[in-house]
Amino acid sequence: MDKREAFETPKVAFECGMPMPFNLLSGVRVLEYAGLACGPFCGKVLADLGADVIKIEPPGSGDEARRRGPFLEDELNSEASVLFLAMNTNKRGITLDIATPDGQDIFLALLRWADVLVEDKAPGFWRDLDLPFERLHEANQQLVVTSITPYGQTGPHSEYKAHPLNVEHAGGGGYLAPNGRLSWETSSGRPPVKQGSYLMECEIGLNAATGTIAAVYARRLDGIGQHVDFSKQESQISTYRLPIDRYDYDGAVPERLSIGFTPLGILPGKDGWTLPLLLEPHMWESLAQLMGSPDWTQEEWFNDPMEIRARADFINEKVSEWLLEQPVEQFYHAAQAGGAAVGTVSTAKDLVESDQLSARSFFRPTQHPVVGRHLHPTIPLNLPEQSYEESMAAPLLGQDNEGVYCDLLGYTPADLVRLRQAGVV
Amino acid sequence: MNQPLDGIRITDFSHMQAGPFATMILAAMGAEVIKIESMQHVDPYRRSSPEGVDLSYSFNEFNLGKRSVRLNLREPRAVDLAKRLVAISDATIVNMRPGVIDRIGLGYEAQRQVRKDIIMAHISYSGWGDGPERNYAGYAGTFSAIGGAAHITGYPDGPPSENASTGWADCSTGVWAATALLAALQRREVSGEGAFLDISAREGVASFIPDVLLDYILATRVLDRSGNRDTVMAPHSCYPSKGEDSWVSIAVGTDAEWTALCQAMGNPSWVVDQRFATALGRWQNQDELDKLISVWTADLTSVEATERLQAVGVASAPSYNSHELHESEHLSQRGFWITVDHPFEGEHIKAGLPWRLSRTPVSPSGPAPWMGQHTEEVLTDLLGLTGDEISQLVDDGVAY
Repeated sequence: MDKREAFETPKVAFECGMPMPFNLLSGVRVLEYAGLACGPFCGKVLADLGADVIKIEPPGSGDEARRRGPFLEDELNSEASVLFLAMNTNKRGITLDIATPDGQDIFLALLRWADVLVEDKAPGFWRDLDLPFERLHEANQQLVVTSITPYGQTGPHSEYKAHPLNVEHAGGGGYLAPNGRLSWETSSGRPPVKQGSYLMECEIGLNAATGTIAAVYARRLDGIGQHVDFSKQESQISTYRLPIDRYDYDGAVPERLSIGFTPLGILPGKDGWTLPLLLEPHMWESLAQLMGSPDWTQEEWFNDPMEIRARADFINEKVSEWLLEQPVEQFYHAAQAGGAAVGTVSTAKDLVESDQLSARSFFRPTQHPVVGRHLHPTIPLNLPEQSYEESMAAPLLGQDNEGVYCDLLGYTPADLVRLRQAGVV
Repeated sequence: MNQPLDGIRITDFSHMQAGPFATMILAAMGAEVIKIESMQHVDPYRRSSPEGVDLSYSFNEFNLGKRSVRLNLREPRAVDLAKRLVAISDATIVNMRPGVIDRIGLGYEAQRQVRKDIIMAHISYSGWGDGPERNYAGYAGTFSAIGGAAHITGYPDGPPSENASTGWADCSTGVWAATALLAALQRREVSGEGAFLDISAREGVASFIPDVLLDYILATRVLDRSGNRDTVMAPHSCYPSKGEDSWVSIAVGTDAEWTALCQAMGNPSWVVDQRFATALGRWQNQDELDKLISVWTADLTSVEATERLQAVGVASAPSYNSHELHESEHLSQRGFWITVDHPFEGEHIKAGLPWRLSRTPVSPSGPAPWMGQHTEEVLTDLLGLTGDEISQLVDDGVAY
């Protein structure tokens, strides 16, 4: 019997009128066994693209993100962790202790249901449970296993421990920040820095999703799954390849105290910061007009990009002085109206209140039992022929235990009680 | 050996970095990528070297394994030929302001006419739709600023980090496009339908900070810059190590890790200070704590400090610069660095791609093409044109 037929019982979420995101990965079944930010963001991407994602959490405490703030009311509440809520939309959630014999049986049964397993445990974890990839693959030949680790499954550093801070510095991105001409002075003698919050963890999680989908699609060739050995360090280096690969060309070692656009670059305005990136001549024209065409912008040299670069100090002085009087939002729209590439340095408030993001439905409504109804950030994709009306909120701990254990796997309610009492679930 | 995108053909109309990185990824996954270029409108990334369009570092970085076909899309005959290529492609990619590709005559409707199930990935700064900023211009640095990354990166008392020339946001946008395109291929496998994938680069950045955005939505809290600091963990920073501008990152998450760190440092007397006895105390007093730890790290190289700390189970890693990454034994053993041999540039070592699929490897198949390298080959083999017809197109400025 085709293994898929064994699971033709209705799925709780998507086949019962619950909110649906995009349907690109409709029918792809994903087990996510990962915590904090990177692995869960990978699962979120797959879920937002339409995969049916079941998230496995340890019974009792759940994903470690639940214990990390910020919390909605500034107090520890595992159902009101903003971090957890953010990373886990459109997923069903179950609890399971894979380290128990019963837990392992259940896990293998779930693997037979799944197309994909996304996991972020250290290589030793699966060895210790006697569940190496070969055994998982035996349970289900079609299974794609994406293993997310800081340094990969092999190599001298594969057992190294890393928090997100360490990954970002090990991957070469940390060393290059903060950058920008105005940063050089403040940075001198101070350490290089990671990007804020879990930004790179999520970026790396996206990369994990890319390889996962490629492996799923590859099954059309011979129906067989495979293992994706995904190193967060390698992903980070790949994203920063432009400055990093320079090394083999001219031996240059790019570093934060020399990286920065000039003239201009990131600059303070009256009420915030802005980044004008005037990479084409007509953009300088636009700026000149905004400034009221001062004499120096009417000189011959102003039309020559090489001359502009040569006079960077002068231009920086003149423009910085003027910009300090300009409200950044106003400058942004006025400059863009003239065709100049400018980006306002945006805060969370700016983003949430952005008319443009609102017009794109980047934030979509979701309903959560504890936090209530609210808007939630989604992914940077729109499909004109499909409306993605609403997101399913992150699951409460063990929310879908009944749906998965009873409806999907065929356990009775009494079985479920027994498993709970034994701490398996 | 099979690759994930065996048999897939993509016609690539994109320039610069985001679109090209997406198709470079797909080419490394086995797709045949036909890049449409022209001397009429040279890819700005080919212009970054005074030595000529085939010797530009940034172009040769982001166009590995592709075929280059010269078609001047201002000429109607070139647009017709491009359409014929679309007709035999599974997917196309465009990286322009909304509407431009339609004016050229190769918009989604036009593409669908020649290939019903075409998958068209369209990357733009703000995406399509009716938003007020739809026609605005952007580059990687501006995505990073307007997407919310710049504001939260840097020291609390310093400016936002610019991240324009590191180009990370262009790579990430390319990864979003490749991911969406792969997902659309998967759907097509099941349902037979194509897709128009409307990807917004600025939203690409914003999507990486869902927690930051949600915290404003739910509690009107605005996250500001905090250097290397964490909301909970301490010590959690980069510490000066031996050598010029050399740093080692250390992050301690539990009491056990703290004890191990103290041990590795030789249990200096200050570790028993009451202020550092609890996680909260360490967090509250981390200015002082960081100074004290720096005294220990300053006498060791970042690698020595890392080895000692990893030996006792403390998370640590050097803040590697590109030289150190190229010399890394770990990356070398994993075969991460690849050698690319370009006919004019010669051999160079480049970063590989981070997807090690056990059965269908992902790896760039060759160097970036020189301008128009495959024009004749593609027009002959794929579109059946004769040598004379191609010469005529060259003379007429169509294959230009």
